[in-house]
Parts: sequence; structure tokens; C-alpha cells
Amino acid sequence: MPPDERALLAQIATGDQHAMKCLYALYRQRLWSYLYHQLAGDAGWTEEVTQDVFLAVWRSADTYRGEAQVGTWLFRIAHNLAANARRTRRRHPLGQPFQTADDGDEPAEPVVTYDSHEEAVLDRLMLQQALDHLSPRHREVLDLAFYQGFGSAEIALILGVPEGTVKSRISYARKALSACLQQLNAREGVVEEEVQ
Amino acid sequence: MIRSDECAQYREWLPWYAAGTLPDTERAAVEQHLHSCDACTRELATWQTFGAGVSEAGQAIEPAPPLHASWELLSARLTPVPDIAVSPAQTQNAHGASPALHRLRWFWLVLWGQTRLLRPAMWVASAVAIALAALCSALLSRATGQSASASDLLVFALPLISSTGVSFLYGPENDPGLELGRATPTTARAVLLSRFALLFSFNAGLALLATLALMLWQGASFWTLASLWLGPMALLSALSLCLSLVFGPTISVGAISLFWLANSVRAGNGIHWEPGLLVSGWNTALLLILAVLGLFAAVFLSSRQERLRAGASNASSELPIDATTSLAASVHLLSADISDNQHGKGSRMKQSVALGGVIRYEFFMQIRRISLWVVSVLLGALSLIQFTDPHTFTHDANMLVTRGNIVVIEAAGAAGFFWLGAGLLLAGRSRRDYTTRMDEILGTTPATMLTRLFGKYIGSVLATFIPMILIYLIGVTLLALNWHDFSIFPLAMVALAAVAIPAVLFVGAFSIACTTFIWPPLYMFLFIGYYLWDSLDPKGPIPTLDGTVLSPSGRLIMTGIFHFTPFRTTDLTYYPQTSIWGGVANIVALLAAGAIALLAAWGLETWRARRR
Repeated sequence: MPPDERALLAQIATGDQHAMKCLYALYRQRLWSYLYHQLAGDAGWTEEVTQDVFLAVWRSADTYRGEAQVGTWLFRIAHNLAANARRTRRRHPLGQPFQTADDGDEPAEPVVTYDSHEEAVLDRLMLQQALDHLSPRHREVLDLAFYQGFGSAEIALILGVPEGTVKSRISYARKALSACLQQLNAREGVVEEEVQ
Repeated sequence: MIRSDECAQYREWLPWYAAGTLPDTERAAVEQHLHSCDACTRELATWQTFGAGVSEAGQAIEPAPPLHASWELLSARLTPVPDIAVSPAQTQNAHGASPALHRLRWFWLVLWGQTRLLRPAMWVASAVAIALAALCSALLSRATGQSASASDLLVFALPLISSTGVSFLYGPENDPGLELGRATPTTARAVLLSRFALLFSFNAGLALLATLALMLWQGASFWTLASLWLGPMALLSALSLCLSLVFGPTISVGAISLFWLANSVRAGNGIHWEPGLLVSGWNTALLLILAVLGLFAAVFLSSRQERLRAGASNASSELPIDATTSLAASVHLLSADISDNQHGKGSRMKQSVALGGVIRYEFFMQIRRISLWVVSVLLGALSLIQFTDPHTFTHDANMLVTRGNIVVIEAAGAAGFFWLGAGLLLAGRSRRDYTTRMDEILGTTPATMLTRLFGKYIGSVLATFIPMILIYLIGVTLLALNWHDFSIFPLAMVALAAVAIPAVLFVGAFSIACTTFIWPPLYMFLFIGYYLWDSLDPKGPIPTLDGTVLSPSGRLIMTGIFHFTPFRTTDLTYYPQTSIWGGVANIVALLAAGAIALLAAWGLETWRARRR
């Protein structure tokens, strides 16, 4: 039977390291995978921020009031720390370039018609490639919904935005993904023509 | 296919349906709709494809480091926390003490920790400065018999002393342990506030003692005196905390001293300072409220920590830029070396070429500093106030106010601001090679220690002149436009050159020489004290350099070379009449004193290098 997460947090708030270790074991893998995509696939950076998330949990466990699920609360901390980490690094790049336009919710991409290409989009490799091209903001909402299994209300809590924004954001993310795929398709087409 | 409006609601639900997180009622509705709508079915298929892709991507990532190892790392960082940072409610049981007691103990721990982290020089400098201010005002009140002038001095000096100290409280420049401190669970806010509280209460305590002493000495009302300085002291300290968090200590000290001077100095007559607007017009309660608002702003700034976070990397990011520039300097020097050897010229020639390289390097290093431009613009704004309305000069009917006289006093007034700014801006330039770890690279160039020191001096002084002269030109142009008389330009430039150049060279030499062995913030602190001392009334009870050949205010230059006469008979005491040789002696003495200071610094550096 899984340990009660709220009880774990209460114990952590009293400075119980064993409880902390349980929580760490429970959530580290999920947070790692979420942060990995949020931090440009940089494993070192991901580990650093993951540790920071748990450090923040350790320090502020007493402020958890049980309004949200423990998982939601953890991801909310992770979301904030990842955004901070990206902001800091963008200002002071330390090595490998990190270029992700953190675009807003407005569909900057041309709005694509839905039926033109979707049936052709089943190339999985290309889908992975397209996902890597998404902005962290769009990638995040897809990750939280499809990989981490959060519902729209929980994602709203994690991101600190209204639920309506989450719904529109996921649809913008999908449009961005479609546009990306279209571009990749077009590029591939050009390459094939050149080869011929 | 055209999406119909009735599908809109279902479309919004589809991603959550595909992810399996849609609530049951909505799920049933979607399922029913899908039976009858092909478009939505296709849309769902896309979502499912995308969802599968996302979850596949979630699994196909680099594996995290082994759980055990990373837990070891994390748990090492957890250990010190329960003692201090966990809120009192949680540790209540562990310590068996009440939350209030625990909180008190926490405050005490932080305060005590910060007491030891602040530099001892800060306490000493504040105490000495306050003691000096009190002594001076006591002497002044005994000599003049007027308690008003004595309290004026105290009211002027105390806020300035406190705010200068506060500027150096926090930040990467002043706190070698900042990096370490940031890793502890004590927040920047707590550190900042506790340091501020410590230094401010230390200063305020000493100032109260000084006031008490003055009260016993001359029988003034204690509260009247205290209420004169308390408000401005709090406000200026809070302001300088904010400024130092955003712009760093140099700009903060410069801006606050200028603000306070502007508030206290009567325009056009740089020697009479008296408590200005802030003291006479506003009451203490209002000033204290403003100070608290300032503290809130500082706390907000510290939590954003933009500059502070950047600060650590600024120190390192300055390095590559400097390294390339100085590499360029070294290459320049080395190439001079080679060509000299080819031509078989002596080492004297080589050093002169090397000097050119050093001057150029130091010039660019100084002119790109933001603080140079900010302080200059502030200074400029102040001195421009003088230029805008020359008719405000009050004068006796029997004194002659000529345009020439006005131009000369404008030049001298600008020069006064120049040398104050130059003294602050040049402090620490000699320390910089060590802090940026450039000294070893520079040591490999053919330039000798003396060449480097002298080149640093000339290059950075020249760079400091540039913005100041630009501002002065604006002022003179305003004056010329006002009079429709452009023939004043030659006199304006000559007067500035005669008064400002020796003063800035004199002060700059000391700023560069003294900071080779004094911590630069402490030097700035002492320098402002020197500035105030120099502007004391020469006929007053406290001996001052003003009016002698060693004063950078250059009154002998004004009267000796430019035949300046003040506009009021009462001011005659400030301007000792002298011959042209008196003026020349003033210039020569300043330059000679500067050269001696530089040579002494050179001797000290050579001795140090030999010991290494």
C-alpha cells in the first residue's frame, strides 16, 4: 500500500529525513522526466533543478495546506523553478546555447487547416523531432496532460493560470505541433527532391 | 471540412478525453457525440497520436542518476535546515520551547551571524566619522557661540555617514561570503534586513550619544536636535540600500552624497551648506514613513535579486572582456617590444610606447563603466542648476558682478563637483587588477610597475574627464545663450582647465594611490569626509585646507590668476586675495602632492612585489 503522501509531508515539516527520502523515491522519476523536457534535455541541469525542487519542499513543507494534491503541489514548485532557471540562463548563458522562444499563447504560427496533412503525420520519429521544437510552455502542457496524467484543473493549479487558459493553451500547443510537423515535412520533401 | 459550432465544446474536451482525465459525465457525452461526428473522431485520432508521441518522448529520455547517489547529495543539503529555517511551529516539539521564543532565538542567531559577517572597517569608520562630526560641531558651537551652526553640521553629516555605510552592506562587491551565504537557508531578505538593522541602530545609537553630548555642552533641547537628523538619516539610509541593490555601491554613494549636497548647498555658492528642504520642510514622521517604504522597496529588490544573482557572474563575466582587452594591450606592448629590439632603441623609448598602451587600455576600461556615466549625469544635473539662472546670485551693491566673475565661479563650482566625482570614481581602480586577476598577465608585459601605475592614472583620469567636460560644455552653452554672448567660451575653458585639471589630478592620484592599501569603500567614506572638511569655513574654529595652496577647491587660482572677487562682502574671507604666483603655487602644489602620492604607492607596490 502506497504511503499517504499528506502524512509524509507533515512528517517532512517536522524535519523527518526518512519521510523526505520516501517522497524523493516516489516523485523523483516523474519530476526528472518533466524537468528534462523543460530544460532543453540537459541532464546536469535537470538534476540540479530536481534537487532544488526537493530542497524547496524540505524548506516549505510546513506551508502546504492540503488544498491541492501533493503531486500537483510538487509540480507547481517544479514549474516555477524551471521557469526561473530558464530565465537566469537566458540572461547569463553558460556554455551551450539555449534558444527557445518562450512565445505567448497567441498562435504565432499560421493557422493550419486540419485535414490537409494529419493523416500523413504518423511518422513517429518526426513527431519526436517536432516535440523537441516546441516552446517549453507548449511542451509543458502536453507533457502534463499526456505523460504525467494531470487533468485540466490540476494543470491550472500547477501553472497558476485559470482553467480556461489551460484549455486554450493545449489547443495552441497542438496547432504549434501541427505547424512544426508541416515544416519538417516540407523540409524533408525538399531534401528528397534534391537527392533525386 | 468545416467545424460546426456544436462541435466546439466537444473539441475542447477531446484532448482530456484522449488523455483519460475527463470527468465521467463529460466523457459519456463525448462518446455519444463521437458516434455521430466523423470530424471529431478524426480530431480525436490526432490527439491520440500526439498523446502517444508525448508519452513515448517522456520515456525515451536520458536516465536520471542513480537514486541512491543523488539522494546522498540532496540529504547533505538538508542537514542544517531544521535548526534554523523550519518554522517555529514545527520545531516546537523538538526544542520544547514556545514558538515566540523560538522565533526570537532565530532572529538572534541571524543578527549575531551577520554581526560577524560585516567588515570591522565599517564599524570603525562609522564610529570615527560620527565622533569627528560631533567634535567638529562642538568646536564650532564653542567658537561661534551659535548652536544653530553646530547642529547644522551634525544634521548634515549624520545622514550622509549612515547612508554611505549602508551602501556597502550587501552585494557581491562587498561580501566575499555572499555565495556561501546564499546557499544557507537564511533568505536574502532576512540577511539584508538584519544587516540594515544592525548598522542603522549602531549609527543611530552613536548619533544619539553625540546629540546627548552636544546637549550637555550647549544646552540645546535633545529632542529638537534628534528630530533634525533622525528622519533624514533613516530616509537616506533606506534610499542608499535600494540604490546599492540596483546599481552597486559606487553609484549609490555618489548619488546619495550628491542628492544630500544639492539639498543642503545653496546653488551658486558652493561653500555655504545648510540643512535644506528635507529638514526644514518635512517632519520626522513623514520621513520615517518614507524610509519604511524605501525598506519595503529594498526587500522587494532583494527578493528579485536581479543584480545580486547577476553579480556573482558579473565578476566572472567581466573577466573575459577584460582578458581580451588586456590581451590586446599585452600584444600591443609586446609588439612594441619586438620592434624596439629590431631598431635597437633603448628601454626608455620602449617604456614610452608601453605607457601609450597602458593609457589606452585604462582609458577604455574606465569609460565603459556605467557608474562613470550615472555619477557624471547626476553631477551634471546639479551643476547645470547653477548655470540655468545666473541672476539668482545675491550681491552687495558695492561689489562688482562681471560676466567674467560669474564664468569663473561657475567653472570653480563645476570643478568642485568634478573632483568630488573623480575621487569617488577613481577609487579602487588600482585594486581592480587583483580582483579581476589581471595582475599576472599584466606583469608579463614589458611595462614596468611605474609605467603601469602612471598609465592607469592618466588613462582613467582622462576617461573620467570626458563626460564631465561634455556636461560642462552644455552648461556654458546655456549661459552663453542666456547672455547672447559666445565670447565667454575661451575664458570658460581656460578657467575650467586651471581650476579643475589640477584638482582632479590631485584627487585622482590620491584615489589611485591610497586604494592600493585601503579597502576602496573605506577610502570613499574617508574621501567624502575630506570633501566636507575641505569645504569648512577657513576662518572658522576648525583648521581646514581651504584657501591654502593644498586645497583642490582652487580659491587661490581663482583670485590669483583670474582676479576673481566674490559677490558679497561677507564672502571675502573665503577668497584670500593673492598674486598670480599664489595661483601658480596652488597648481604646482596640487600636482606635486599628487605625484608624491603616486610615487609612494609605486614604492609600496614594488616592495610588495619583491616580498612576493
